[in-house]
Amino acid sequence: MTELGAFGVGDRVRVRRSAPAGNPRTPRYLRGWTGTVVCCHGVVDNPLDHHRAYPPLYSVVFPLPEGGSGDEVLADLHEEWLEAAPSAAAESAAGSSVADRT
Amino acid sequence: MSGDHGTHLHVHEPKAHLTAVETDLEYFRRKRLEPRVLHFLRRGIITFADLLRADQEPAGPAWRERVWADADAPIRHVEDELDRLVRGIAAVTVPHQGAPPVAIDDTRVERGDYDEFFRLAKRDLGHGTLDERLAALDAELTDAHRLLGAFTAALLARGRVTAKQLQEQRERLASVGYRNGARIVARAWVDPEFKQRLLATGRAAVRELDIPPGRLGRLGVAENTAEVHNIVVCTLCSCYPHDLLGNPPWWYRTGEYKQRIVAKPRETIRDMFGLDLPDDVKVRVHDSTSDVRWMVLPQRPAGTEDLDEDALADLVTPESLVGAALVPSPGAGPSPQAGSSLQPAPSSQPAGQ
Repeated sequence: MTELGAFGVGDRVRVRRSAPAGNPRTPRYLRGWTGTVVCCHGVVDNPLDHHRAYPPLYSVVFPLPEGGSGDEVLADLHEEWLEAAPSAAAESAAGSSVADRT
Repeated sequence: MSGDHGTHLHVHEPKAHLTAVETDLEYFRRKRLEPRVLHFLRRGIITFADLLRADQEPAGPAWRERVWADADAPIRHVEDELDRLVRGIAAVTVPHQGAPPVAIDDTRVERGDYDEFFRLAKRDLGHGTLDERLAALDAELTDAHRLLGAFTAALLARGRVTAKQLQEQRERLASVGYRNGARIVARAWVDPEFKQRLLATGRAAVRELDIPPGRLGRLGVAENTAEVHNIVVCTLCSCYPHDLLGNPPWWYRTGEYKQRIVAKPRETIRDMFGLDLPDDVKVRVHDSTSDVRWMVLPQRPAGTEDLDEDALADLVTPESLVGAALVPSPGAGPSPQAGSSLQPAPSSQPAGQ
């Protein structure tokens, strides 16, 4: 329950395109997207939902490309689906943030 | 309509009501009832022969022979029958003896949430005149009740569940519904320290209101402010804090809502719910993935300074707990969504997934 994972609040993370051994609870449309961790839940004990514990869970916020007005989506994703991404500043310097969205 | 309402309102838009019942019936048949029956058959918890032995002919009169008190009565009838079906499905979702527990994710796999190959076929509801749609719905509901009846009787005959367990489950479910959410919201409005505990600890805090906190993962509480409007969806299935708040409004389970809200939330909220959010309010969509089940803490409406906690709770609607509506000021009349394409939910009963 209190086992915290590799990422912290404010970290930039990218959703992996696939995680063959991972749990199935990552929405398809988010794959490849980059977002920011806003909450670290640790390993969530939820035996009614799934038999084994999933890896640590994070609430991650993603800006919506067509949202306008700063609209965004927050999803709760498990660690095996996430990888570290460059910071927003580093990304804008490289001019490559949009390409990840397709 | 929801079992929380003692009386029925006049049915202003019968077609919209029928669409809601048709959509919900398909959902509960394909996602809750039949996958569970299949799961139990596959695992040998019951057998096909058990179901055949337990089968009973429906007892009620045929649809064509029924006499209705007024024009709304047939619509209320199918709504009530759907409510009864949803409650009955939830009642048999109890731990059964002699087999490993069915985790919700087993059911998701079995019903094809992750693989279309496993998905149960839809039936072609929603065509023809009002009368034809009603008759088709009645036939479908009768069949679903017949299957549920045989399934329940087979579980009892096999000793997989006991009558006492079913009764306890029905009693437990009676304490679950959106009113729990309304009470949580009203307390958070009047007690800032409770609100902080609620935002920080979720389920643990609702014990203070003597509300059974449930056990489906974490409870996430998304607070609406002058800067942020939150709305909840589950694009993978239909995750919600069912065990605390009952079922969400019926449109929450539709593909249209799931697809649109994560693409263009502001437009979707305006088009589907008639709620026009100011440009300086950011929309945050919470896409639930089951380990955190989200509810929205709506903003306290203006003109409620003199209201006590119970009166505040009476203002809170099921839609506002999802983020599809604001809580109306007292005496403000119908909410904006009355003029939208979506009509009130036919069912707000708990079903445990």
